[in-house]
Amino acid sequence: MRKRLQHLLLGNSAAHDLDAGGETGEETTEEEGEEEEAETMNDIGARLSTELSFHAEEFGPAVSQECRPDVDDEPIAMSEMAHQKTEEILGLLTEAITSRCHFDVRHFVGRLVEVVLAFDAASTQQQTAEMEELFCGGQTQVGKTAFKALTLIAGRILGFSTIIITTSVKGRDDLWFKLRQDYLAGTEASEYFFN
Amino acid sequence: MSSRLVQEHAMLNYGGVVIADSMHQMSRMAEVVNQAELRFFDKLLKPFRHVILVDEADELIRTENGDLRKERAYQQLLGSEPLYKLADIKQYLVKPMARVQISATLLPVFLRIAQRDVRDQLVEGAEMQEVPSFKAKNIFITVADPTKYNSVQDLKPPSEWAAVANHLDKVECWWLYCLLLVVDARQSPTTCAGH
Repeated sequence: MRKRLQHLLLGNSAAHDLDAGGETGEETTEEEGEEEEAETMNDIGARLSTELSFHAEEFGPAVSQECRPDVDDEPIAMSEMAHQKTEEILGLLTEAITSRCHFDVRHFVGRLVEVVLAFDAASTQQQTAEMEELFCGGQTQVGKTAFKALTLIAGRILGFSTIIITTSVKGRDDLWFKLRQDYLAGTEASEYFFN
Repeated sequence: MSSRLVQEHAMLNYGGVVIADSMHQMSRMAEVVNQAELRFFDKLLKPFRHVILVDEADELIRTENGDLRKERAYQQLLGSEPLYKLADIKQYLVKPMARVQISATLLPVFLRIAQRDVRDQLVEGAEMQEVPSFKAKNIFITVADPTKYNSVQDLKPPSEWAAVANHLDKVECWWLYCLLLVVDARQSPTTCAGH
């Protein structure tokens, strides 16, 4: 099973390289195969935990200190300009938004500022900046909408437009209404936000 | 749904538009973005900047090659596919500065690993942290109650992923797991060959 998957993943040549120096592909009966599969599955589960533990550690700075008291209070390195812009945006955030954010707002806004500055720097050198990829997670009903509201507000200040893709037409209308009513009320961003 | 003109108005004024994840709405938005880009550049002589937020991001990853029309429309919006099928005419692709993927699960992270470009980088020898998408500073987790904080260590075994994400069957879950195993194997080939 494992070997087949390696071939599926890597193609024949790369999988062959991995096999080199290891065991040769022995045929097993179906029963043995199932047992082996179950064992391997547990083993893989254990390995996955170890493999990804560094990620779990690194999630730390992105999570607010209030929620993760075990995380050291390390300042995030940021250029002076990025710092100023971040402060400017943070200064505009209303209580309605900040009370709903259960993550490190400064870090998130700071990343958006850095993305814009990097894009501008690439543009001035006639280069195309790589698209940055950000992942935002969290359980349901803990305020993931705040990421969207922050991006919309930051966009108005930093000069970028925001497109939000959500599921279904009803979801779109609900999200639009929720953002306008609960998060963006009283901000300039709500005037330029449409569904 | 707002008209194209309204959407374009929002794009040109650093506003926001929320759309449903239907093929029609995403294709239309891609056209609006292209139009806005042209007008923006004509007016201000600087590149148009926009960010795409994808709510329930795992919804939009359906097939490995992205063959569905809906996926193609999404790719057009991401500037990875041309808007029109015109032979021998090179079309200008408008790419967003950043894509923010939002999901209650960490599946988008794993599905991103499974996509060919990232997979190739990992197989070629890049460390997980070196792949731009997986910089820890780009991953944000929102938590309301620290006792309920779920980290990657709390991920369920792959058979249960399949129940959560019904577009992943057991083999695909295995496949994702094994990708991580291959990354591990690449780092220490002897441990890989032992199973």
